[in-house]
Amino acid sequence: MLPSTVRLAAIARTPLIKFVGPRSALNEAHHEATRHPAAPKDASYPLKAGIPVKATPFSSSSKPATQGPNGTSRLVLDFTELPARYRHPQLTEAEIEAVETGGATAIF
Amino acid sequence: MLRLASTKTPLAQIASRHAPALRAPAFTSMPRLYSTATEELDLVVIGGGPGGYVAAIKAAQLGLKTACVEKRGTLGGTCLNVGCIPSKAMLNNSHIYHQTQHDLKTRGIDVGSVALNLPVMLKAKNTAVTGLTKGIEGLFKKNKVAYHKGAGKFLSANEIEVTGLDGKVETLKAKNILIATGSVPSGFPGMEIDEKQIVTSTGALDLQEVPKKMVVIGAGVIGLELGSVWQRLGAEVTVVEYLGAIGAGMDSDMAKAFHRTLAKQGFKFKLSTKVVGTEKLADGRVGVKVEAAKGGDAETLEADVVLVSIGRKPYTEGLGLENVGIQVDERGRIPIDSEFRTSVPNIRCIGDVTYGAMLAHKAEEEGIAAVEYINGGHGHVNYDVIPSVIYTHPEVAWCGKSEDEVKKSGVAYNIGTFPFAANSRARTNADADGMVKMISDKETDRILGIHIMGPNAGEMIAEGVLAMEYGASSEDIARTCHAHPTLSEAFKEAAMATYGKPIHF
Repeated sequence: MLPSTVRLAAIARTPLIKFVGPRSALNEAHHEATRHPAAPKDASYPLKAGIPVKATPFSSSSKPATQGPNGTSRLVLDFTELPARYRHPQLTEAEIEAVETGGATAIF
Repeated sequence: MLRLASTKTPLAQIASRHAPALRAPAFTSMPRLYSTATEELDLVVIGGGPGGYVAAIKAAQLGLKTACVEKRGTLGGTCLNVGCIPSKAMLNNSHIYHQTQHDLKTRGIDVGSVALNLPVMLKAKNTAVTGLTKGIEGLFKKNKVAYHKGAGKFLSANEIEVTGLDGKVETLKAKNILIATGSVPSGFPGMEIDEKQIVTSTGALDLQEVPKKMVVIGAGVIGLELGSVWQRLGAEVTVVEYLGAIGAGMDSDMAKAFHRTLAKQGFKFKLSTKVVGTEKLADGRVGVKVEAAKGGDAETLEADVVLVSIGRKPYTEGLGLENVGIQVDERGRIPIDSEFRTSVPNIRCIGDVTYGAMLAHKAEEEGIAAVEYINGGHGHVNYDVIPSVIYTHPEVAWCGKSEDEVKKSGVAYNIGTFPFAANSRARTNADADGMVKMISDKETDRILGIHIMGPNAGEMIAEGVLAMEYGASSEDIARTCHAHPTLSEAFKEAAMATYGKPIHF
C-alpha cells in the first residue's frame, strides 16, 4: 500500500482556472436587474423614482410653440408639465408588492 | 381570485386609477410633446472623465449615435487633469530627483551638484496632461463621438440642456443618458480651501515652491502620494490621521510595514489624531490644531502648506436631477441597480458619483458594462477584484480581501508571504523593501486576496487580478513559469508559500 502523499502526487493535477471561451458563445442574452453588488446593505431596492419638479430651461422662459392649423401658433407641453390627472399615478408600497408577486401577497 | 377581482385589492386599485387617465384626450390629441432642435441620439454621456469618455467611445464602437458633454474644457476628468496622471508625473520625477541626490553615489555614479528646477518639473507634468487629454479628443473624432464642451442639465428624462463654455445653449435629445459626473475633494468643516496654503489634491499638484513644512490631513492614497512628492523635494511632511493605521484600509500587515518604510524615509505620522481646526499664524503660516482622537492634550502643528485629503464626494451640482425625480442617498451618491439604471430606467449612472470605490479603473469598467447593457448585451464588473494601488516608493497594491476581512468572514484560510529581500532581481536593483502576501481558502486553495508592497507592485498586481478573476488557486500561480530574474518571481514564491513552501526563503 502506498503512503497517501505518494498516491496524491500520482494524480494528475487539475487547475482551478476554468476557460470560459468567447463571451459571444455564452448564453447571456437573458438577464434581470437586481440590487447593485456594491450598494450598501441598507440601501433600498427596488429603486423608487421621485416626483420630477418642473424643469427650468436656461435657454428660454417661454413655452415652445409649434405651427397649428390655419397658421395659428399652438402651445406644446412637456410630459412633466401635464396636470397631475393626466400623469401615471405613483404606486404605493403595497401596490408595488402586489404587482411583483402577481397578487400573491394580497391573498396570503 | 375572487379577492383579486375585488375593487379593494391593490391590483384592482391600480387598474381603476389608470382607467380615466388612459381615456384622457390629452395624449391622443397632441401631435408632438417634445420639441428639440437636434436629432435624437442613442446615448448622451454627461461627464468626460475615465468612466464617461470610455463609455462614449465604447458606445460609438457598438454603433450607437453618441455625444459626450464635459464642462471642464478638457477631457479626462479629475484623473487626467488634476489626479492620477499629474500626480504620477510628479511622483516619477521627484523620485528621480531624490534618487539622484541620495542613491546614485552608492551605485557608482558620481554626479555634480543636483538642483531642483520646479517650474520645469511642473511644466513636464502639464505637458503629459495636455498630451493625454488631447489624445482623447482625437479618439472621439476617430470614433465619431460628438463632443459638447459645456455643462449638461436634465430638462426631462430624454433631454439634456447644454450650456456651452462659449455661452451658447442647445438641447440634446437621447434615448439613453449616462451620468458620469465623478467626484470632488471633500472639504474640512470650518476650513477654507484657498488652493495656495490650504490645498486639496488640485492645489498640491501645482505648488509654486517647495514648502518647508507640510501637514497632510488624511493618510489615504492621495495624502501619502502627494506627501511623498513634496517630501522628496525637500519638505518636512507630517501626516495626521484619525484612524490608528495608514493606507486607506489596506491589509493591516502591509499597513504596518508601509508605515515603517515611510517613517524611515522621513515622514512623521500622528495616528489616532483628530484635526480640530486651523488658524493663520502671525508669520503668515498656518497652524493646524490637533488632539488625540479620543480626546486629550491639544497641540498646534505649524505648516507652510496644509493638504486636505480626507476623501472625495460625489458631484451632481447643477445636473438638474430634481427635474427627472432622481434622488441621491445620504452620502450624495446616485442609487443604481446591477445594470447601472437609476430610478429612471433610461438614465444610467457610473463611476465616483454612485456606489463602489472611487477609482478611475473601476469607472472605466462600469462605463463599458453600462453601454453593453444599453446595447442589449451583458456587462461585467467584478467588484470583488478591483485593484488598489498607492504609487509611493515602494508601491503598495492589493486586490480581493484583506486578512482582517477573511478572518471576519469566518472562512478558514492559508497565508503565504515572500519578501523582496529574497528576490534576486530586487537585490540586484538594490531596491528590496517589501513583500508579497497571498491569502487562499484553506479547503479549495482558491485565492481570496493578494497584497504587495514593493518595487513595481502596481504592475505586478495585474497578475493577481487576472488570477482572481479566473478563480485561480495559489497552486495555479505557483505552477506557472515566471521569467528569471524578475520581480514577479516573488509573486510566484508567495503562491508557493501559500499552498506549500517557497524555494528561496
